[in-house]
Amino acid sequence: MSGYFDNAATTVMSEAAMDTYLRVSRTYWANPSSSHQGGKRAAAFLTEQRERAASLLGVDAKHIIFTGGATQSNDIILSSLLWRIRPQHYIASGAEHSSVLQWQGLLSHAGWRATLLDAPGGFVDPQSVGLALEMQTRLVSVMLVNNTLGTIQDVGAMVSVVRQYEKEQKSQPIHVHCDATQALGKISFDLRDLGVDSASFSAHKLHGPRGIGILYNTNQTIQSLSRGGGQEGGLRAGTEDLASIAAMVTAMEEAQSTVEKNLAHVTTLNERMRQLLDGPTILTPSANSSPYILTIALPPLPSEVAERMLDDLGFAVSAGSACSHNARQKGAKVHNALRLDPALSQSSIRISFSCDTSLKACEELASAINTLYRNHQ
Amino acid sequence: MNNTNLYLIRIGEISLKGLNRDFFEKRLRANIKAKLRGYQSTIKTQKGRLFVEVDAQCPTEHVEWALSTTFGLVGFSQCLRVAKDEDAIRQAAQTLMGEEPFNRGVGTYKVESRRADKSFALNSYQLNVIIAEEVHRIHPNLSVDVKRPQMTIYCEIRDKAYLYSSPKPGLGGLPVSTAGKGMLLLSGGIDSPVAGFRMAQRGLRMECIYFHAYPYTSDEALQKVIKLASLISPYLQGTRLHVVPFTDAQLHIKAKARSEETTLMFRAAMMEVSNLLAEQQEALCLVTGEALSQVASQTVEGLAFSDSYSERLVLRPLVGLDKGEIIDLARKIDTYETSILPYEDCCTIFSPKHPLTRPDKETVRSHYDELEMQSFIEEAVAQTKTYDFTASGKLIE
Repeated sequence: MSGYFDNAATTVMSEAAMDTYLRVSRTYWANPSSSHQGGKRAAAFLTEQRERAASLLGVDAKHIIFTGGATQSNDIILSSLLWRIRPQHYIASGAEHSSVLQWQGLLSHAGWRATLLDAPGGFVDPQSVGLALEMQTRLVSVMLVNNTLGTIQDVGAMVSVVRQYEKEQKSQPIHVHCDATQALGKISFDLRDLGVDSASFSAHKLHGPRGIGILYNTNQTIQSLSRGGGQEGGLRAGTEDLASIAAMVTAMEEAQSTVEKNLAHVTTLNERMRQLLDGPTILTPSANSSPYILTIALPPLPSEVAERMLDDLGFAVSAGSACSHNARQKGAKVHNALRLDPALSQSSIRISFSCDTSLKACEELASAINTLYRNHQ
Repeated sequence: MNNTNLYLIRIGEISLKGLNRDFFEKRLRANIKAKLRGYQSTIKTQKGRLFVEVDAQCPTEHVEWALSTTFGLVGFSQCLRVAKDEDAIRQAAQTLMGEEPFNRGVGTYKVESRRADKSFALNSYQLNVIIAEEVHRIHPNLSVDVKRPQMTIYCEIRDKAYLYSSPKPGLGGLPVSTAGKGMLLLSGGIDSPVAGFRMAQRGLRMECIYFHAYPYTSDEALQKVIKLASLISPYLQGTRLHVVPFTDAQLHIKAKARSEETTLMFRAAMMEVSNLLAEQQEALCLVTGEALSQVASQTVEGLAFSDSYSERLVLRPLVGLDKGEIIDLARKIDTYETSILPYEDCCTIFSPKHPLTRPDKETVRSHYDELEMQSFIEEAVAQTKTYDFTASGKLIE
């Protein structure tokens, strides 16, 4: 589909990932926990995939947990707070994905206090993390690439602020979690350099299958609410989905080997769009943003109307985060945290590219948007 | 029909009608029959009562749904019909004792007997006594309370003896189609389905009109209105939904009208379209869900302005109600949850920031004339698509 510009919501699975999926489904279908020959082969294959994933992320294999996707990875970290005897305090950016933000309800019910930091223009100021830290803070959660605007946050600087606080105040260790879903396979980053304690990833954002992702976690005290057969270090019980895991690793390998080339291609697309758009307000900052996401506003046209009109012309864009059911209400909170002008926020649409997006399709989309915008002034 | 169930229906206001009572009763019978379509049924009239005999294959819930969504009856009850003699009446009383709520064997009750046939040997008091004897024999723990009984056994002596208990309430009002036909302007909001319900209660038959402005309003918004039409269709004894494509008209108004007057202009155009559709469908009036001062266009001046574009009477049954009262009614008729689904029925780009609330009728009418809406209105009517719904609320594909 040449008019598909919703790659931040999901991407089409690559041929190589699909091949891997089929091959592994046929070959390693035994349960890796079984002690027969088939089970042992499956267990060995799982170990191999974990090592490959770890090496792609530049981390130790023992810190790789295969999960059902980034939402579940975020769930495990946020819900682990509920195991603590005394409810305390956590910090998150107010522009996080709903799989982080939605935990506030249950956590506050359990007595946890939350500080949600504003991210003006898509960036949390590392100093504001410092100001929000207190002796009771147990968790800080910030995303690497913001899914609404595409901004790349200075997570490394935030981690430094946290570590310095720990040292100076001699506080208990503070867990820093990072949702890196929109970063994996798209921009280069080094988890060890960032210094985070955990991070979340989803395969389907980088041409892998749905329902599979990774939790990178170095913190031994993290416990999950899920019970079962103790798979994945007890954090994600349930028989491992080897076909999906292997297809994800294939997609990660493909992305890794082409990351620079794809980045250059998508940067060209992004710059061309910015150049061609005549009238709409561009909300994604040009500096320190992932070129994969370009969020714009077409006031006074409401997002959902613009989305519908473009859809009728054969262009799929997003009127907000497609992951939230009632995007309008939930999206409003995130837009407030991003300090977007309400008039712009209500008419914003997200264009997101992939390595498969063509320059021609971008030019056609820009022209369609310009016409739409002009017709409503 | 072999096995049948018998229902006794109490009719309210209709029984007060004079020479045209027959007209109302006939319509009520037809409306009930329409709801029971698919099952054999016969309906007979006796002074102040209807007797519906339905094939026993028809589930009780279905009969109760049919009777509780039909206007013109105040109550109904499944009933026993036996010969007019003491033994048969005693036996029928025994049967009732084996059923809800008497079979629990506890509580207070009374017997209320009436003789439409005064020639019957036992008088009302004697009838009460023989029935109470049976009650006492079977459930000795039930006690009589004539002032505030928890349960009542009714016995009516007519051509036969009829025994029943626990009547269920009906909706009252008058049978739909006894007051002619109107066109209901259905928006997708909370108010208009309630307005339709209210006018159906007074016997008005209605077809619905929805103004669809795709892509400024979504297909989901249209689906929501289709759902609302299907939800009110049983009360309306079946209905039709005319979906008017209104985008071109709205865009023309937005481009040409004074910004503060756009909503008034939309209303005038909607009135014109509705009148044309009413003419096509031979409807005598329009029905809207407007309530005085609820929104900027629903002021006395605003309503008078839009009225001036209707050759037909515009009925606004909710005009004096508060929003809370309307919501209560919407909950009662089960349309509220659908009405509050978050699909806009008007795009914000068509809503002026500062709408004119107190239009001068003649001035604004002359502004409307300047818009030259005629061709847009004719085109909208010509492109209107119609959906039909049965009395059970089913969309006819």
